[in-house]
Amino acid sequence: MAQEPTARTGRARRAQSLLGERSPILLTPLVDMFTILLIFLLLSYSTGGQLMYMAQNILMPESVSREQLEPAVEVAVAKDRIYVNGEVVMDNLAGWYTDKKLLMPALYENLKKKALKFKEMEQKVPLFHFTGKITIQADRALPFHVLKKVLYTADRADFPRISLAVYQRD
Amino acid sequence: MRPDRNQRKTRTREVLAADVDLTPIMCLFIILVPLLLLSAVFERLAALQVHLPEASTIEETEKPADGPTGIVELRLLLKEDGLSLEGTLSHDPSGREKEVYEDIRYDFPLQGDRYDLEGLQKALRELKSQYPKHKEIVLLVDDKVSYDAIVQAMDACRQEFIVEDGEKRSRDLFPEVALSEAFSEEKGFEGLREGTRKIDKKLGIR
Repeated sequence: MAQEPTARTGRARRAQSLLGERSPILLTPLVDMFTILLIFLLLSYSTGGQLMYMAQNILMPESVSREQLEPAVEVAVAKDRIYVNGEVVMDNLAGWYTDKKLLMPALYENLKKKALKFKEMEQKVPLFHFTGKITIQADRALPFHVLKKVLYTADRADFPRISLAVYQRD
Repeated sequence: MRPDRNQRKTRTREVLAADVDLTPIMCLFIILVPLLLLSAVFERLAALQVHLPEASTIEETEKPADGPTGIVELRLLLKEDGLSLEGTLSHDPSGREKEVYEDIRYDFPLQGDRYDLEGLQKALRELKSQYPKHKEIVLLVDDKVSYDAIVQAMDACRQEFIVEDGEKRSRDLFPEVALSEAFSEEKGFEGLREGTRKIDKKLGIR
């Protein structure tokens, strides 16, 4: 066979020595791709912004608001459960869709404990101020009467400065 | 000998031109690209400040007295069958005090299954142009209205977008939005106080 490695013609051997011992992998397209990707990612990179626990199954509404989220206690209200700072506080909301009561005891207790801890810290740490800020992420399909209960409970538990987290819309 | 030397010269030049060492730049890319991919934000988050009617009483003492704005109160009712804008006016647009407070009311029935936010914005824009100092609006929301509809209505109350010289700009309408319920039930409030007392006791608060 002509293709046998031992039976190489003189021309083939010369070409081999011109290219070097091994033919290199062409890195240029890879570098091109990386450069484009890097520029795209750098452009979409945002330095500001607040990290949030994104709870599952929550589709927040969209808004034209441009206000930045501030660090705060985070309450996430999905259709069937409520999280505080990423931890499940109430895991069956079904009853609250019909209940007339405004206070959610489990949520109130959790938030009140946090408020008490913050107030205690305020006494000890000189530059720390408890502002009563709270961020609420809620699912867009949630009816107002469930949201209302969460808002009232947060307000009662010494978190009166409420912001709603939303997705930005252009 | 001559042609041979020439040949060697061109050969070295070729090798020099082709030999850019891409390894460091690849190293950089390989580190930077995953880092940026991990920290990439595809959905930007924003905040919407809301005031509760109860909580707003605390802030009222801090609020500077701007004098009467001409509007005593502006309310937007969100109901299952549409929007209604209600207001109580104390002054004429010219600044003359009214002898009797005047109530205004506009209704915006549902458009298909959506709120008529365009109509609402038109009415708000007119009010704002007559009473530019007023900033507050209270949203009175019916129980079954969805959170999404509330946020869209809040957006419509806060600001409008106008195209000026081919540029999109926002203009404030009534940016201080308070959220309240349409019909408060006394029983619910009573239950609230009872509930907190019990838990407060458990947590050791007076």
